[in-house]
Amino acid sequence: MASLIDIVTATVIGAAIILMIIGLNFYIESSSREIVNSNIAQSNITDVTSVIEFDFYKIGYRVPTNKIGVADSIQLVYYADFDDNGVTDSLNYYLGPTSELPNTPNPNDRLLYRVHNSETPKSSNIGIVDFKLVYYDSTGTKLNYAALTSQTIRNRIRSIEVYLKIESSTSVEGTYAGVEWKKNIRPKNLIY
Amino acid sequence: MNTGQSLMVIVGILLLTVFILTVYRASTARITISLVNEATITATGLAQSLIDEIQIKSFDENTISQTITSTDSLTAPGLLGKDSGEILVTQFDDVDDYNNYTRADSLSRLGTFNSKVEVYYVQKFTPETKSSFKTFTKRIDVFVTNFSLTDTIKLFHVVSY
Repeated sequence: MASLIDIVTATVIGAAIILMIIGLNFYIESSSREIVNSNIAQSNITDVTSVIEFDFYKIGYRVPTNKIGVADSIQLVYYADFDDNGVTDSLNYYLGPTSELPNTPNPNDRLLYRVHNSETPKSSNIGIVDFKLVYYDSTGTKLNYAALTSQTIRNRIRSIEVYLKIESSTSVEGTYAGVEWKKNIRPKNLIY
Repeated sequence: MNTGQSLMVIVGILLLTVFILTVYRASTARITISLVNEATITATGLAQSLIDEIQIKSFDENTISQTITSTDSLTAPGLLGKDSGEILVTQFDDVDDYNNYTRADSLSRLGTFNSKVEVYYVQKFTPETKSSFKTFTKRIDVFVTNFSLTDTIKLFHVVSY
């Protein structure tokens, strides 16, 4: 009888230990994935925002009038002499549809395109799930998108609020790691 | 199972429990650090944005429409802040209007980021030293807080006339 109790006790303890180790294994695996995903998203947003800041602060450089060609919530076309050669260049930023990335596990990721003059659109999948532009005039009043179809109204733009959200391509227990960034950019050539 | 064997089993389980708890704690700390990094990136963007907004304003209420050559013409240190008639931020027209200004930005992932601004005179060659008298140099301090941040994010910018 005593040996039977020993066997049962040992089995229970052994099973508990195995369950604890399995649980720990799952936890370490999922938390590691979460941290790696989060770090990748943070690294990606730092890279993208540095490019956006570099480009957007140059809006209107050496362009006397009509510095912005298209101003929409997910698209901005503007002009500047980027290479300082006296020739006006154009830059077109726009967000592609989610249907362009049907094979990624994240259903919301999209491509953000950057098109310099008439070059082939450039982009890479870095997990952008949201990119939104809001435009303000000199008094800080928000300009509505319908009005911004008019060049006269676009010429009133003095600052552009950029909102960007990046998420990991894979989820951990249904949650996507990510990071958000929001900045109101005031290009000097729009202000002065 | 004799007493000695039982004790050994209990000690073994205790050691395993301590090990597992240590692993959980270490992992949680790593996740927390990652969350703090995320909040820091967002908070820094918001703070820079606010500094950009402030620094394009006039240096002082009295330099908006005229040029001055003496600090006597500047706003007194104790009066730095919104001027009469300025209620909305869109009405602010000089740097020190933002003194004690607060703003809350709500974002979808980490909730509300609260920003607070302080503007004060500093000594020209030692901008880290607050000046109790008028100078041609003002310092803008922006503080951003969020529940994910372990400490307040603080950015500053110095503007001179």
